[in-house]
Amino acid sequence: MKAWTLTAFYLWKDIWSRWLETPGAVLARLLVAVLLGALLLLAQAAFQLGERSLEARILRLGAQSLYLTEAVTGEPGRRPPLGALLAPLGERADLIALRQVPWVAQDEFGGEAVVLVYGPESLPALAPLLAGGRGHSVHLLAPTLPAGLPVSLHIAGADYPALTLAPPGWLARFAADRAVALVPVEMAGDWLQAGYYETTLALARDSDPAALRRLAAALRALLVLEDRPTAQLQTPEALLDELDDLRSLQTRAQTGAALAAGLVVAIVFGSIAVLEYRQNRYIVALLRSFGAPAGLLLLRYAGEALLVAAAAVLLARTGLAWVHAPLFGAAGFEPALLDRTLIDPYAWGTVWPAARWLLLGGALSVVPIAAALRQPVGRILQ
Amino acid sequence: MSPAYENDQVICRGLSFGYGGAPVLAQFTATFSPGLTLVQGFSGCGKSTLLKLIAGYLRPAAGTIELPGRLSPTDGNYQRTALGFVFQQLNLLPLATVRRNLELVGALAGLPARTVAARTRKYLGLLGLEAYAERRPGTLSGGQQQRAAIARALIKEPTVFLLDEPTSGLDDLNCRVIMKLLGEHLPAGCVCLVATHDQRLAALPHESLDFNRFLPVERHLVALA
Repeated sequence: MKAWTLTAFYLWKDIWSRWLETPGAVLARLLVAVLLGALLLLAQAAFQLGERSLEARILRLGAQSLYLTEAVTGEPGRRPPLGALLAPLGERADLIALRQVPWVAQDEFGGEAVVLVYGPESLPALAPLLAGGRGHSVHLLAPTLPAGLPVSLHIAGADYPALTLAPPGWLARFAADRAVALVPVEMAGDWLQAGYYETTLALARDSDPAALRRLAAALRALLVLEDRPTAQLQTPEALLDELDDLRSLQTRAQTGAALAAGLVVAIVFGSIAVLEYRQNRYIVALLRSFGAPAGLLLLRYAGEALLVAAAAVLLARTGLAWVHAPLFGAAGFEPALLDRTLIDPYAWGTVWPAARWLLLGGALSVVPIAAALRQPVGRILQ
Repeated sequence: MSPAYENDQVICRGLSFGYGGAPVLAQFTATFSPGLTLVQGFSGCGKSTLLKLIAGYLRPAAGTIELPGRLSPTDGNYQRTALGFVFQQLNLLPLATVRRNLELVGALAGLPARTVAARTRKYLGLLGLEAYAERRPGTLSGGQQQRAAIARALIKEPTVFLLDEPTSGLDDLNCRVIMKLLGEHLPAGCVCLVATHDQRLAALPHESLDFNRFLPVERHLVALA
C-alpha cells in the first residue's frame, strides 16, 4: 500500500511540477473544456427556459381550452346551436357557449357592450359567475365599472335592468377587452333570427395532453357527423406539438452537442497528453523499470484529465450562474423565468448529463497514452 | 527423494533479438552464475541489449531466459523485487530526493519500512551519499547521480543486478568507490552483470564474457584506429 501511495504522491508531484513549468498546456486544456462546458450548459439553460416559456404561454392561452366558432346567417333556427350540439361532451369538459347577436347594448353612462346570449347548456359553467347576480337576468361585464352596480341597458329598442359583474379571465376570448352584456336565450326573443356568431369554450376536465387531444378528436368527429363545415375549432394542440418538438429537439441537440464536446475534449486533451508524454516518457519508463504497474501510470494521466475536465465544468457552471439573469434577460426571457430559486438550469442534477460527456472525453483522452505505455521500457531508456 | 532443483543462475538459451534491421543477438546462449561478470565488447555489439533482455525490458524474438527463483523476465514481480538495473543515463526520478528515490523502489519491492530505512542508510553510506540524501538529482554531479542510482538498485538487494556502463564518463575516484562496492558488498547469491568497455573495471575479480566474439560488428574500426 505504501508503494502505491509513494508512487501516486510522486506522480501528483510530477503533474504539479509540469503545470508550473508549462502552465500553457494545462490552461489550454482548461480553456477548451470551459468553453465547451459553457456552451453545453448555455444551450441547456436556453432550452429549459424556452420550454418553460412555452409552457407558460400554453397556460395563459388555456392549456385545457378548446374554442369552437361558427358564424350562422339566415334561418338559424334550422340548425341547432353549437353549444347544444356539444352538450353530450359535458362529462369531459365544462362548456360555455355564447352567441354574439348583431346588436349593441348601451348603458346609461354612454358605454357600449357586445351582446352575448347563453343557453341552458352553459349554465353549469356560468353558475359561479352568475351567482353574484342577485336575481338579475341580464348582466353587464365591464372592466371599467365596479361589480354589483345596477345599470339599465338599452338593447334593440328596449331597456333592460342589469347588474355589473367582474369580467372573468376567459371572457377575453369572446370579446377581447370590450364590455359584454350577458343575456339568457329566453330573453333574446327574435334577436337570433338575424344571425349570430357563436363561440364555444370547452374546458377539458382532464389536463393530460393526450386527453385533450382525444377531446379535440371527438369535437372534430362531431362536427363532421353533424355536417358543420363552417365551424372552426381552435385547440392548443399546435402549442403542445411545439412543446413536444422542443423537448425532442432538446434531447437530440443536447445528446449530439454533448457527444461532440466530449469528442473534442478527448482529441484536445489526448493531443496535449501525448505531447507531454513524449517529454516525460523517460520518467514514466523509469518508473515502469522499477516495476510500477502501467495501470497506475495510466491512472495518473486519466486523473489529471478528469481533474481538469471537472474543474472546467465547475468554472463553466459558476460563470454561467453568475451571468444567467443579465444574459437571458437581454435575450428577452421574462424576469419571472430567470429566478433561479424557481428554475435552476445549473442544478447539479441538470448539469450532470452534459458534464458526464466532458468527463468521459477526458477519460478517453488517455487512450493514446495507453498505447504508448505498451512500448517496451528497453526501447525508451538507454 | 531428492530435493527440488532450485536454479540460482541466469541462463540464456538461443536468444535472438534485433531492432528492425540486422539482428543484434542471434542464437545467443550463456549461463551466468552468482558473482560478478563483466560483459565486454565494442559499442553496439549488443551488451546493453542483453542486459535489457535479462531485465525483461525487451522481449526476445526467439529463445528463453531462466532466472533464479523460477521467475520470468516479463513478470512485474521480478522487476519489483528481484531485479536491480542501472541504466547508462537517467536513473533517478528528478522530482524526488535521493532518499525518496531509494524509498520508493524499496516500497515497490514490498520491503518493510524498517528494512528500507536500514538499507537506505547502509547503501548511502557505502557510496558516500549521506550528505546528499535530501537533495534532488538535478543538484548532484554525474558521479553522485550514478552512485545514487547504484544505491537505488541495491536497496532491494536483488538476485539479478545489471549495470549498463556504470563507470562511463566517471573520474577515477568515483570509479574506485563503485568498484569497491561491486567487489566487496554485492548481496549474497546475486548474479551481477556489468556491461562495460571501461578497462578500469578489469581489476575486479570477475567472470568475463567477451561479446566481440559473438558479433564483431565494428571490427573494421580496428583497422581504422
